[in-house]
Amino acid sequence: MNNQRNHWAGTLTLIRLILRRDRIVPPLWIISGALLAPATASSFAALYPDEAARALFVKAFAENPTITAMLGKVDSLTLGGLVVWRWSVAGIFIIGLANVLTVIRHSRNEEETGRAELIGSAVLGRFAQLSAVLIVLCCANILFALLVAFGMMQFEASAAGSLTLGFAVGAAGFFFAGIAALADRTASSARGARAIAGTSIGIFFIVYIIGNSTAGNNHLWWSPFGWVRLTHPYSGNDSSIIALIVAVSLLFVVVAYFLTLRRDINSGIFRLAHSGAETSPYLSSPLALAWRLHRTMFFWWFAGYTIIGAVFGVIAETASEQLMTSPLMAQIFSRPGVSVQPGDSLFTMSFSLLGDVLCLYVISATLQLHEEEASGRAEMLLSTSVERVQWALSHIFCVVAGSTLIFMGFGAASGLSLGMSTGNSWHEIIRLSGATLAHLPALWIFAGLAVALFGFAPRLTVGGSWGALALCTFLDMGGEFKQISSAILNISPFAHVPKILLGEDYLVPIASLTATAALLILAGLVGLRRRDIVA
Amino acid sequence: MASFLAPSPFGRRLEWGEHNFQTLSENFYRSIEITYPRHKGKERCFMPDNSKSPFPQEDQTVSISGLVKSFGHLRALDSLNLSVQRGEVHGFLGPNGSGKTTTIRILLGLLRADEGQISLLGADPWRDAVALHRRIAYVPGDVTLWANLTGGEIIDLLGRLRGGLNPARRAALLEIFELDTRKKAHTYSKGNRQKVALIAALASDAELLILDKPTSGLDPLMEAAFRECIALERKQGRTVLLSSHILGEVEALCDRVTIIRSGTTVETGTLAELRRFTRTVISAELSSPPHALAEMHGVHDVQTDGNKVHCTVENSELSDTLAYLISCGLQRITTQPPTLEELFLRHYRHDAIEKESNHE
Repeated sequence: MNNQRNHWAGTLTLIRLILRRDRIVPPLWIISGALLAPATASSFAALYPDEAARALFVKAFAENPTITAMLGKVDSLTLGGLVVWRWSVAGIFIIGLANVLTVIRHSRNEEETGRAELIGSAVLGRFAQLSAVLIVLCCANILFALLVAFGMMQFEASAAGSLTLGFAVGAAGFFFAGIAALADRTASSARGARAIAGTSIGIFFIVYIIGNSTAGNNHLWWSPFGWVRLTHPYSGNDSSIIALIVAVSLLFVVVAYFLTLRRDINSGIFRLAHSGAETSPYLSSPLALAWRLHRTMFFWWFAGYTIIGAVFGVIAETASEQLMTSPLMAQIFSRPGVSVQPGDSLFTMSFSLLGDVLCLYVISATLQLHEEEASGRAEMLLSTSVERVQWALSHIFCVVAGSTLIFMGFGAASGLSLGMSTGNSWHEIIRLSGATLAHLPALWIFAGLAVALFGFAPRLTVGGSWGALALCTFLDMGGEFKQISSAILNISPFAHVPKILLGEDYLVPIASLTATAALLILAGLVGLRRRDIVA
Repeated sequence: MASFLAPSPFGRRLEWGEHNFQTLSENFYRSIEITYPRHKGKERCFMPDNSKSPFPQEDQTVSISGLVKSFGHLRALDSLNLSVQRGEVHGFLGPNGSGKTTTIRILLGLLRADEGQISLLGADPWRDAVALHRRIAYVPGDVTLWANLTGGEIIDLLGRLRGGLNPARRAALLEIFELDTRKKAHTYSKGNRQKVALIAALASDAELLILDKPTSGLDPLMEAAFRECIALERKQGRTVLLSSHILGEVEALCDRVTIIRSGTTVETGTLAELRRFTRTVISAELSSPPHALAEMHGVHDVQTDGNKVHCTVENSELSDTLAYLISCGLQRITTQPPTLEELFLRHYRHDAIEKESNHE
């Protein structure tokens, strides 16, 4: 064998390096994502023990069009069928994101930090770095699939169904690893690659929502979220589709290898604006700088939320009519003395769901402050006449204003598309974008928490902020299954968001949520003024 | 002009050098006058005496005494003293991890001192940080930039936030340092990132420059250009605090030097003062072996090889030693003046020996 042209030389050593570097967080992520499936099964088993109860639940709740749009239809009334319906979207998000972040962390990010150069100067084939991370992820996805399957077998007799579910979601995870490998080779930076691959998950989810809102199964073919459902776990077990997902993923990987042979280290195909303005007259304050740093991410989120909003506006009217035919839903969503407008129950639900997701933006944008300090850029900026509080406030302003615009954009887009069918566009735009405002203070509390940690315990900023979101999302789900006492549920700011479209009182909750967020931010700023800035 | 470039083996680069030093010629540089910002208004009320003159009059730009800073159990700075006079270029020397950067971060108000008196331009660097920062410019040792901003944008941003950038000086410096300002910062090499921070600092109207290993990553020609710039800054009356590992650079530029070791000041003074305590290296060829040399007072490290001898001599004993060598029939002699490097290494070795004896 010709050793000089061995493109895979050193792969084994790199696998060991990856396993050493990633021995704590990624395994925890994968295990908790997988165990969410049997946990969901256990909740359903407790709430709806027999098929009659499940049929009633599906009729009352799962057949509501908003939920169908987000989660798909329920294929089978078995316990497993409900888990497929409830968990698979969350499972794909969790495992997909884990795959994307891991691929880029170990390939492009290594090149960008210069570590790949150090390693690459040793006996290392061109494919070694990408191969190592893909092999590790392949094993991790199989492990994930087996965990899901064995977990589900505790609740479901059908081993085939459990294996189908586990491996379908695991294969979808690997699909996103393939996309990440492609993005990794083509984007102009690690950050760009992360954005492309991460956004692809969101886009495929939007495609899935659109597919679910249209009649027939054909539209499910356009998204890996749909492919997982097309395997029909517990009601057909079509494993050939799993093979299809793996084949498509491998195709991406082959293209990524092909590109690897033809590219320079740390360079993409798309040369995104390597040279730019010699100078820009507006860049003269910390706020202008903060906006420059936040704007790309803001525009992506704004575009995504506006598109989802428009889709929801279109399906709102029919959806609500169907929703209100269910007596349970009518009971949940009607308030004495208030006439609820068509679509409002759907919007109330989608606001709280998409509000939870927008927390990802709020937290990651707030963490830019931490990133600026850790990279040493804050040191240089704070050696100028910029005051610490002014610097922090300029970023916080971008987060607060950005999240407001994104969510109001969602409300306005749904108002516009709903109004086009009801013929009252301006009224709907103002009413719905105004209603989104009620959800924002809860999101700002997460920004406030991140700032407070940044001021007093900078090392805990990243872990603490994401941990708090994970906890609150978990409590929210627990609330959905009615298994956690309301005293504990009230820890989560989401629990206090008023359902403004359904006529709930909003002044007191909004004021108190806003005040809490403001206090947390204030506390963080006080801490920041007193502490050392460390690079 | 630019004599240190003359023996350069790089023909092409020499051409480059001549071209640039024409640009950098003193008259040209002088024509771009440094206009120190007039100190007025509330922000600068901590220096009431300076309202008449654009140059604040306090003699000591930096005055630190008994500075202590701990990070957990680690005592990073331990009774450190540093004083920088107005208008001087002050060298700040010390081995890796001795606390230079920590001291500078305290001067910038980024870290809070545990103990000690610190005065920067007559004010408290922690309390008056923002007002002080209008009067100083800082170049970090390891420059990280905003990846998606261009070099030109960053230079302007930093200049505006410091309270002014002289456009003519900016243009001159860009030419001297040969920086393409239209490129995004993530395409810059370490040297180019360093240039961005240097140009932003040198083009500002700040009266004090704090430079933390400013030439790390610069090529020798850029280093030479940097030296030339600093020499001119000194003539213009700017005060410079220069932390560096490169002893040649410090020797060429600095009026006074402070050497620290493990967070404590061990030497401070003018180069001439420091040299008095150092030794001259002598290599000589004699007509008879110098048997008595090793026993002479103030003579160290004697190595003899027949009639050849190599030794170091304390400067106070230089004339006695030379007299003895002449009595042995001096045929050829080379002497090396005491260098900062020797002084530095002496402290550094002392440190290493101490560490060893602690281990035993």
